[in-house]
This record gives sequence, structure tokens and C-alpha cells, in this order.
Amino acid sequence: MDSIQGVYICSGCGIGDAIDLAKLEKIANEEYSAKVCRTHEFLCGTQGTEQIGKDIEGEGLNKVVVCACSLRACTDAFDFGDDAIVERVNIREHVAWSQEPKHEDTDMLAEDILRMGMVKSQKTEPLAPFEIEEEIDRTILVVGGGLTGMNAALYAARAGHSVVIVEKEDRLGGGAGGLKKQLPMSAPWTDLEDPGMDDLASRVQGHENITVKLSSEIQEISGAPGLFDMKLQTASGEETMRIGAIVLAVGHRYYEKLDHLGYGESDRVVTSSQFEAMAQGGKLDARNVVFVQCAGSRDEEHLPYCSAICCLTSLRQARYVREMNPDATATILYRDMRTAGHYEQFYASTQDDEGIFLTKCDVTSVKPNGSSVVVTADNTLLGESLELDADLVVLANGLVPQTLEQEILKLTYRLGTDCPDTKYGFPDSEFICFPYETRRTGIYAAGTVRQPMEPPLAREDGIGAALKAIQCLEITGQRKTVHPRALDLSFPDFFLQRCTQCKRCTEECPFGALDEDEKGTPKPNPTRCRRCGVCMGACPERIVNFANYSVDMLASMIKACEVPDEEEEKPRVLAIICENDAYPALDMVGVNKLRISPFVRFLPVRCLGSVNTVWITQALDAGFDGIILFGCKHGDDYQCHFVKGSELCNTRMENVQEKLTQMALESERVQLHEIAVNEYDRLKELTDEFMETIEEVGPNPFKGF
Amino acid sequence: MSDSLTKPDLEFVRQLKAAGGENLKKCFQCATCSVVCKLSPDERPYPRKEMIWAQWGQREKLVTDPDVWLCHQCNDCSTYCPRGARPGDVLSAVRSYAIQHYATPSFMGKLVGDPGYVLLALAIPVIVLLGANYMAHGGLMFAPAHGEIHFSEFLPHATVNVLFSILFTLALIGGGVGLLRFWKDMKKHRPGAPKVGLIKAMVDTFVELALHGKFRTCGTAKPRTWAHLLIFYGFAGLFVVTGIVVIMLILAPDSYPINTLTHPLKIAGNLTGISLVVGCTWAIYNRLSDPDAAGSSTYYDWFFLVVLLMVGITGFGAQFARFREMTTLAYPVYFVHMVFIFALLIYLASPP
Repeated sequence: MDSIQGVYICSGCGIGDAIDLAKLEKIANEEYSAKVCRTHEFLCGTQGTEQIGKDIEGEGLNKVVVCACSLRACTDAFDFGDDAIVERVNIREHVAWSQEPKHEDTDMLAEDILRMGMVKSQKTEPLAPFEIEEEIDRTILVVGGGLTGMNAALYAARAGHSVVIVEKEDRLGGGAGGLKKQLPMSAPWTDLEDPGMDDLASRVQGHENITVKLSSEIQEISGAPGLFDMKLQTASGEETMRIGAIVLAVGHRYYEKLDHLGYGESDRVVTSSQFEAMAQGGKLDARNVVFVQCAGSRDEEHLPYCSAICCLTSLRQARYVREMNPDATATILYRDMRTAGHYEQFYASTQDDEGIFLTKCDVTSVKPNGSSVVVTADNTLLGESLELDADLVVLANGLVPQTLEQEILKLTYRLGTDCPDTKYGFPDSEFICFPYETRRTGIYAAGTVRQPMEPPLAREDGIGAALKAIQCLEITGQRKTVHPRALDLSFPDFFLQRCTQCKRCTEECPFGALDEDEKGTPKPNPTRCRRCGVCMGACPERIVNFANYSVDMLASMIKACEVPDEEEEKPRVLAIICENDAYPALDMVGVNKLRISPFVRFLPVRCLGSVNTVWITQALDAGFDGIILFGCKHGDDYQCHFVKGSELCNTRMENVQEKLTQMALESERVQLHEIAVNEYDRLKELTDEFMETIEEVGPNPFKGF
Repeated sequence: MSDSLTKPDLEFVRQLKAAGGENLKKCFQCATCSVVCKLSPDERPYPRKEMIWAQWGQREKLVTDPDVWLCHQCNDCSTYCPRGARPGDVLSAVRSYAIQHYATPSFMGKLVGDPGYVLLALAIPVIVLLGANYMAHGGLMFAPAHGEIHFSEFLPHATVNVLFSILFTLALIGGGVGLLRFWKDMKKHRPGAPKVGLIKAMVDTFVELALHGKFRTCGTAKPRTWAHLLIFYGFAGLFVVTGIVVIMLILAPDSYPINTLTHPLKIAGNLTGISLVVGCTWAIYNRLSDPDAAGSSTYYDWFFLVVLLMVGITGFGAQFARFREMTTLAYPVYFVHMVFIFALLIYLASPP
């Protein structure tokens, strides 16, 4: 596509006071032969945008370069639909607000990023959707028929989707279905309720869009979002069905390795769930029940985490004790009473019961002694120790996800049979901004399988995950991607004639989007793809590219920067920044009017995982003195939006540093740093430090060659 | 181990709640109460630990706890308590319970601590005084026939002195025994305490009472300080004046009756009487007008306030009737006055 470029420079927001905009116009006109180049004092206003619209029509522009604010600002104002491809050049936050006004170096920075923008715009091609042979299926599979699953199913069904619930038990209800009473689910949050699971189950079973498969287990799920094929073992035999998206709501099991608390030594020491069954029976032969909180929880040798629900479970069960016998007492020994949100009201009202006794303490032993049990504890509220005789001890044990050490979905992904786990075994993604998103596209975890939570949250989780599943099917149907690049139509193009079957892209794809044929050639599952570009960064042959994001495009942008001679004593550093977190952090540097070195050229990328090492070589060839990369946190508690991107980049950069050393270059010239979205001050500090390092190691010896 | 919790006692929790600490279970042990209390010592601060004991029904610990007696019920704690547990009310309930617990003989505690016994508590002095009247006159005699009013004709001074002295002494003995029991229990439950002897402790207490120094640090219930001071000095003054009159009657019976309002003893008596009546009225007003700030008012509190006020009012009534020579009114009012003084002496002294 031939580029007919229009360049629009905004002088508002202080831009005109800081930068010599005439020079920018000159570059647009002379170096890049822009068809139109205008400067406007309020470009995002109606007058400005209308002018652009007029020029698109009148001058036949197909590319518009907006030199104004951050690409994260005024997105609607500068959206011209399919008429023109818009490229944003951020001379506000990244130049005018973070550089010395009217300075030679400031102008040079603005000029360089305009050049980068012009090149990027020229190299951007219109997008075409990926092609698949089959239609996207709109059925939503809900795995697990408990509180979470049934709510997910109901909401998805109400939105018009057909839903299949697979439940391994012979009834719906799950964990909440086995309770004598449920926690309050609405205001005033003080009184126990009937669990109401039978009513919910009958609404689910009565819904025309919902098919319930009881006593059923999944045998295999293959395919990709919109195109999953499930093999199901039901009571009446094997079935196969086509599924669009999946809500994983299989709930939890209880942690029962509780020998250290006398569990198993006596029938007077029971777990929360055993006590629930005793209370269900309607008779309780104990007048004096002691609840031990954090049994096997928040303990490095057992479950290191808090299960969020056990404090509430014991408060609830203490009420059973009191309801069943008004002269019986319930004593709760807790480490920290954790009753989040509205459940503070439930705690307060339970505590107000004269027969419920609470103290903070560390339980030191639970020893059955004939028909009673002796519980000892240290550090009570009065800082003393405590010894209690109980008729019955209830160990409030924590929960683990059903998926822990148990295959449930049985996926045929090259990456494994189920969704990857976080540190504690929950099949969640570590990225805090996107709840329900697992690391498998189209599969959404909800309820206690995702993280320990109270029933109202589980209910909401089910609904939220159902909406995510619907969103996935809708967007996938438009051939676009789901989070985090939601609605992105781009798709990597594999120029397979030059593929060497090295399998780097297929192995490194964080989402299993790339299978291989027998020879090792990549075979995409387009609907699993999240468009991060990790494949593009991985490919040594540079044959994986997007129409609007390619190895060549970014290499050309690097080369477009003007690198002064060594004598001018103006070093140049290329900063490759992840557009998810580091880019907004850089915007905040400008918003907070911090000064950042004018010698740095920032190059935004989709994810550090998409950084092809050839860019590093080309930057050094072009005379850049150093390259600094800013990406998201990686490791166990990663914040990378594409799970593995920044980690992969880190490995690649270690190799690059090694290569630099072999070439007798200083390895310090290439550095990678993890930046969180709020760490703008750190971004500035790291950049300053890097500039000092570059000054110390001296100019790039290849400069000028 | 002395502070540690033991088996929770549901029954005691119920008793404390009934005695005015109905919000005690609401406490979530944040210690705001102990921090805002200006009287709470740095070591072993209260009322947080008392709140925890109360929640767990720790009867032994609470009745032997000296700290509840440091509380002046200013109610800063109840005002600042984020959960509305009203620690001031709980301490008051504990004190009320402890009074009944240590009252000697124990039925005395019931008489003043249990609203169900109010008629009996008042009937005792009525019966005893009527009996004395009957014995002095060989039959009930309320209003002597002749004009000038001499209360001694209604009840001879000697009878009154002997009767009241004996009863008051018995009551003092009962109170003393109760106090000693408390002192012994306190020592048993807190090894190493007390750091001062009983006598020194009592002297310190009287000094504090005379000055009301700690009372004045109170925040929420500040008006109580002055009401309490007036009552205290009114009561103490009347006690001293009455004592002098009794001694005068024994040493120089002729100097009595005092028939002029300008007599120094009359002036002293009337001034202290005014102090008592004003103090009691003020205290009752405080309790009624802002019950939240005043804190819970146990039956025990009301009983004494009313008895004190009635002593003052009937005293003035009897004096007024006597000087106005309203014979039909003077003797019955005097009788009621004697009933309340009787009640005051036996019931105030016996429970510690």
C-alpha cells in the first residue's frame, strides 16, 4: 500500500512553548514528503479533528500521523475508522513535559521521534482477519455445578448462549449444597440463611438453554476457543460435543494433613466439613465446642496462604452450636479474625452472642484425653497462655483448588493438560488487572478454584467469568483477540517458505497458539493467539510479522534516528519499552514534569517478548551507545501481560550480553529492567543511572561506520 | 498465669449483662478504652483486660480485680469505643456484682443490689423505728399533744443514739469484714500485690476523696465531678455535725434543742444539707438528661442517690415544720427522715 501521509502537529498543552515545531514541519515535508502537514493549537478539538477528516477525504490521505499527546490519551478524537491508519507521536509527555523547553537537544528528540513515527506509519499495512474454516461455536461449557458454576450457567444462558454444565456428582449444588445454613448473602449481613441451592438448581435445570450432565467427567478437550471438541464420559456412555468457551468452576477440596493438631487420634477432633455433617444430622452431643482457626493454614509446612473462608465457617458453625443448645458454648481460637467486607457485620453479630467466646492466640497443642480434648495456646489477647477442656474440637482447615494434582479439563495443548497454576496451585493468571483470565485463552476460572473466597464473591465470580466467556466468543467471532489487546484484529503472518523448523516460536508461545506439523513447521491455532508477538521476537529468520508491527518496521524506526558523531558529545541510547506498563509510567514522568535525559529514544513494543535480537544489533550498528529495555515483572509473581514475554526477553538479552563480550564490547551496554506501572520515578532513576554507565564505558566504537 | 483466661462461664456473662453490661460482648479488644482513659495506669491498664475477662465470664478475676475501683465512670471509654461495647457500663456492672459478692452478711448485698428487695429494704427501718416508738411510749405515738415540737418526745434521744450507734457499728463491722475479704482475695489473685498496706491504701483513698483530683481529669462525664464533690462534702459535713450534736447531747443534754437558725451548728448543718440536696439533684439530672454520657445507672446507684436525696429533703422538711410549728406534719416527716438516715447508715456502711 502506497502511503499518502498527513502530519498534524498540535501546539497546545505547552508543546508549542517547548519545541520548535517549524523544524518538525520541515522534516515531515522534506524528509518524508507528507502530502499535508498542519500545525494546530488544539488538535483534539472539533476544529482540529474535522480538519483531519476533511483532509482524509479531500487530499486522499490513507495515513495520519498525529504529533501530540500520548497514544493513551484522546484515543476517540483521533480515531478515523477504516478511512486512515493513525500513528501517534507523543511529543507532549515524552518531550514537551519532560525536557528543557527550547533546547537544541529537546528539538532533536522531537525530530527523532517524529522520524520514527513517520517510518512506522509508512510501514503499517491494513489489517486482514485470520481465516478459519469452521464457524465459531457459541456454546459455553461450565465445569462444576456448584454455586459459582450454576450462576455462570444461568447468566450465560440468559444472555442467549447455550450452556452445558458438567458435574461429576449425581446432583447439582457443590460445596454450598452440603451446608446446613449459608452465610448471609445480602444486607444486613447478620443472619444465617438457607443455602437455597435446591432452588438455584431447579432454575438451572429448568432453563431451556442449559443442558446438565450429571455424574459426568471430561475425557479430553482439544481444539481452541470457539472450536473446542470435548469428549465426555457420562453415566450413559461417551459423548462428544463442540464447545466455544469454558468456565472452570470446579471449586475446592479441604486440606486434611492435620496430624499435628490431634486429627485422627480421636473422634472428638473433627474438621469443619465433618462438623457440618454432624450439625446436618440435627443433634450435637457437645456442650463445649472449641474451634481452632488456621488449622494447617498460613503455615509454611502446610498451606502457606489464608483460605479466606475458615473464620466465617467457624463463626457460622458456632451459631449452630448455640442454636442447637442455648446452654452450650462455642469458643473460637483464632490467629487473626478475617472477615472481609460486609462480613464484619456477621462477625459483630455473632460475637454479640453471649455463649460465643473468642480469643486471638497461637494454638500450641490439641490433645485428646478420654472423652474430652485439651487445647493449649499461647499469646492470648492478654499475652498469656491458655488451657481449655473441650467436648469437641473443630479444626477450621483451609482449602486447595480441585485442580491441584488432578487433571480435570484434560486439554490436548502442547503446554500441558490443564491451566497453569500460580505459586499456590490455583489455575489463575498472575496478572492482577484481569480476573478470571487463566493462561489459556477462552478458559475462565471462577470461584474457589481460582482463589479462596466467600460465597457472594463466588457467585459474582461465576457471573463475571460467564461474561468473559461471552466476550471471548463475540470477539473471536469477529476474528479479533481477547485481553489484553482486546479487539486487535492483527494476526502474525508466517512466511513459511523460509521457515527452518527451529521450533522456537512454537515452543515459546505462552498460549500454545502454535502447534507443529511432523516436520516442526508451525501450525497456528488462531483463536488461541493473543497477538503479543513473542513468535516474532523468537524467530531467528524474522519471518513472523504483523501487518502493523514487524521486525523490519521497528528496525527501520531505529535506523531513522539521527545519531550524531562522537565529537558532538551527544550520546544516544535506545530504550525499548513495553507499552503495557512502562509506557504509561513514562507518560507519568512527563505528567509529573520530571526531567529525563534528552539522549534517549523510546521505542514502544507490544511486549518485551516480541523484541527480536536483531534490533539490538541494528541499534549498535546505527551508532547507539547503549540499549535499555523496560518490561514487566517476571518470575513467580509475574506482571507480564503475556505471562512469559519479559522473562523470554531477559533470557535473550543475557545471550546478547554474552555476544557483546565476545565482540569485545561492554556487556553493560544492554540492560533490562522490570518496571511496574506506578514506578515512573524509578524509570527516570534507572534511565539516569544508565546514562552514567554509558558515559563511563564511552561511545559505541562502531559509531560512524 | 494470673491474668490468663480459663474456661468460659456463660452464666456469669449473663449476670453481668443483666447488671448493666449488656453490650460487653461487642468488644473486639482494640484497646481504645485503655488508651483514652486518663486514669488507667501504664502498667496493667484497664478496662481492656476487664472487657476480655467479662467476655469470657471470668468471675474470679473480675470480683477480685482492684482496677475496676479505680474507674470513676467518666465514660470516655464508652464514648470512644468503636464497637459500642460501653466499657464504662461493664465496669459499673462488675462493681455492682462485686458489692453483692462481698456484702457481709450476704443478704445485705441482696437488699441493696436487687430491685426486688426494695420494699423489704425500706420496711426494715420502718419496722425497727416503729418498734422503738412503741417501746418508748407503750404504744404508737405520732404527735404529742402540746404545742412546742420536740422530736425527742417522738423518739427519745437516748433511744435514737443507742439504736443507731449499735446498728451503725454492726454495719461498719459487716463492711469491714467484706473489705477484708476483698483485700485477702485480691492478694491471693495477684501475688506481689498490694505494694502498700491496707492503712496506707485507705489514707490515700481518703485524700483522693477529699480532693477529687482524678475525678477532675474525666472528659465525657465532667459535670459528675462537681455533683459528686457536693454530695461527698454534704454527706461528710452532715455526718460530722450530727456526730458533734450526739456528743453534745451526751455531755451537755441541756444545750439541746437548738432553737435558733443562727446557731453555728445549725448553720453548718444547713449548709452541708444544701450541698447534699443540690449535689444529689444535679447527679440525678445528669443521669436522666444524658444517660449515654453518664453511663449505665445500676439499681445500686439509684438506691443510694434517692436515699441520700431523701435524707436531705426530709431533714429540711422536718426543720421547716418544726420552726413553723406544724405539728401534724413535723412528726411524720421526722419519722421518714429517720427511716432514710437509718437506711443510709446500715446500707452504706455494710457493703464495702
